[in-house]
Amino acid sequence: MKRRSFLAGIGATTAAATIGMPSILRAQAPITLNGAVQFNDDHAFNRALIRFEELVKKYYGKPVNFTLHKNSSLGLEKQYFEYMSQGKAVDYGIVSPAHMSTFAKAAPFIDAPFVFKGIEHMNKVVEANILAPIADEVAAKAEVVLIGYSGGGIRNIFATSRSRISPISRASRFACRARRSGRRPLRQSA
Amino acid sequence: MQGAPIWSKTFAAVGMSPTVIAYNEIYNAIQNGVISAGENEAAGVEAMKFYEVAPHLNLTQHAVSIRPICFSVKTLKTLPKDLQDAIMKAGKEAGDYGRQLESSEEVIKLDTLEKAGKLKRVPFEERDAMKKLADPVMATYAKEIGAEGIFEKINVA
Repeated sequence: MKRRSFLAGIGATTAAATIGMPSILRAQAPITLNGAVQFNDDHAFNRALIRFEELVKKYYGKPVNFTLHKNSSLGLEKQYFEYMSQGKAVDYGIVSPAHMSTFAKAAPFIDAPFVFKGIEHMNKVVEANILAPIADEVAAKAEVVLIGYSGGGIRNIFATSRSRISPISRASRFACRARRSGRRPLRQSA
Repeated sequence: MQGAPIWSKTFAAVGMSPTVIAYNEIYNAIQNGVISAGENEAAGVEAMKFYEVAPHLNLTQHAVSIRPICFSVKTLKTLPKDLQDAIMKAGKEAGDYGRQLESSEEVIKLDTLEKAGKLKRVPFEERDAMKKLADPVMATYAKEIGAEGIFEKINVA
């Protein structure tokens, strides 16, 4: 989705038009934007959001405040998305597409196994704006804009034992061993 | 697995028995023996200390996470236009920065954890076989949700 067409979609009649009419109170009071993230400042997500804040200040050039609520203090990503959709408590954050499926069925697809071959492939897909139809649907139905794409981490399976994970016949033995010991084999995350 | 059904379907197709558990409950679930494995990126394995309860990291490389930076439209509409423009421009750049950051630090994080004896990387030679089993599931899913066009464009990018 092109940014200009999105901004036109939410109210601008020309490139120079003000989008919507800010309330008098909002226009006069210092603007504070609230972000939320599940991790601490060592995590790449936090650092990406802090970079976001720095860039906004740089490009806006006027006073704007940011409060980033860290370490899951405002809950988990699913909740951040719900808050953003409702327009309360959280203005920005990083959210897994898995939490957008209520609004856009195709959203979890872009985060599915084996979709991206690696980081270079992901970069090409992002630069080519291939994900625009999904972003458009999320913006229209959930009223949340996907303004950038962070991530890029490669996912692996962490396990308690040295049992090899195999998609061929040994996989079922791995699962069976886990079941006999009363354990379920595999689980996950955000 | 993540809550999105495609994850459970894909891992069931490769012969595993996936279970959905909230991210912040995985550590305890492994510690209490409810499950014996999970999956995540290096940054998550480090931040959530999953290596403490599940130190064998099988290098399946089964996904590359994409994590949109999101902004509330309701909030955006209340902001001055020049701030809206700044947010949109900054969002893209911050996303690009985040991808470069996380992907460049992964190996360093795993090296550090392994050298400290906290984690052991286990080679995984069957990724292609795993993908072969997952491919039909992905193709069917793409068709079900009307994402065939995007899937094709992603595949040829």
